Amino acid sequence: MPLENTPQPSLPRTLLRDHAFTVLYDAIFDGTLAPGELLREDKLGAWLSMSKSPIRHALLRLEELGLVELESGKPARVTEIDYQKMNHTVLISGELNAYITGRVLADLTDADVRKLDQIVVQMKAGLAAESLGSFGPLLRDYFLVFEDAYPNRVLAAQLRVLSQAVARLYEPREYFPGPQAVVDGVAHVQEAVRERDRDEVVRRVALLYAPAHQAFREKFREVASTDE
Amino acid sequence: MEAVEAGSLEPGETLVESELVQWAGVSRQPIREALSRMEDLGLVIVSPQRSTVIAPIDAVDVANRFEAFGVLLAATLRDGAELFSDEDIATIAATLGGTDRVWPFAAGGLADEAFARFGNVVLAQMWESTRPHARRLRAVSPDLLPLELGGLELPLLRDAVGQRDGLAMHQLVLTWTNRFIEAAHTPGPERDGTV
Repeated sequence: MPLENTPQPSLPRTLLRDHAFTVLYDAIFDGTLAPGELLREDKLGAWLSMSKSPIRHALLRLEELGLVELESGKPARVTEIDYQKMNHTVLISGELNAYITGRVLADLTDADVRKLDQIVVQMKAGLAAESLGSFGPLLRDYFLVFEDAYPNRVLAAQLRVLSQAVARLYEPREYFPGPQAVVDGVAHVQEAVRERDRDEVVRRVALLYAPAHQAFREKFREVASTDE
Repeated sequence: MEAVEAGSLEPGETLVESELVQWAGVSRQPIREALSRMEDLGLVIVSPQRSTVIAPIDAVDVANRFEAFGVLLAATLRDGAELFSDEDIATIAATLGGTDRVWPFAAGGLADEAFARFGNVVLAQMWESTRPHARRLRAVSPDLLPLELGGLELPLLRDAVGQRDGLAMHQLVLTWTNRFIEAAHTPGPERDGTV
């Protein structure tokens, strides 16, 4: 039998599980799948029209991103939003953002700087229009310009997972500065970017995350007691 | 997974599902799940023909993988300086004691202890998924370990820990991180870890 006629179960299989992952991932981010919602494999299978195996694989990947919880013998569950954990994510992404912006500032092209300018403009427009839903993604996109210019792709990928998680949940809350403060903070960073002032950029990026640091210090080691 | 970490399965080795089933004495399903997890961790590479190969390692990949943890270790020590208890500080100091040089990412080393005590659960999780790489390197390719911390830096870092000097700890660990990143990109005699 000629080779091209033999079935190739492997390739579609890979695509299926990637597809399952993408659909579930997006559904968690846009709220179609709510925090705490149970994910029964048979229902997911019917929804996505695929067998359990690619779904299982997708769930394992989502578990590693902390978006889904798996326990043997129980259906998977969309991870509840844990604002303290979110604050921890914000801190790490802030630390890595400050590091990367400092490292790549000199390598940014004029086109990169213009792109950053545009994002700041969009943020200001979003603030004026009170469309706060776009805030998380815009903040993510701002730092994405720096990530894209950074040669260490592993670090960029590590950071992207974190920024995604933060973007999912950008809401002005206890730990997060209000939208006005974020826009002002980013605009402040952008001024230093335009002046190519490395130390100022790093300092101002760190400043964006100061409220998260404050919250972390205040709640240091309270996690264990509140978890019980 | 243990076998890859311990190095009894070598980089480049091909894994055949049916042989793994026999070898581990379990059914296919757990083997598949283990392989899938290992693929996500970057420990194995699964090709479309379903052959599974233990991931090869090179110095730049390794340095790239650890760069973020160098930065986060520096930040953890900076912020931990005012938050850690005396007992935490003593444990952290102990990871730096007794030798001329240390590898901060070793099992039970500086990063393990600092991250565990800092209480940033997301950081702890990230480190959890990188630890297998650290252990595996130690076993398989010690020559590819990111540079150790030694020379003048180590006594300076010991002092900084003892004095809870967060900024000094931050600076020393960042300097070390920059050094192993640069060294990985410059193959040659500089990679022996001397300062």
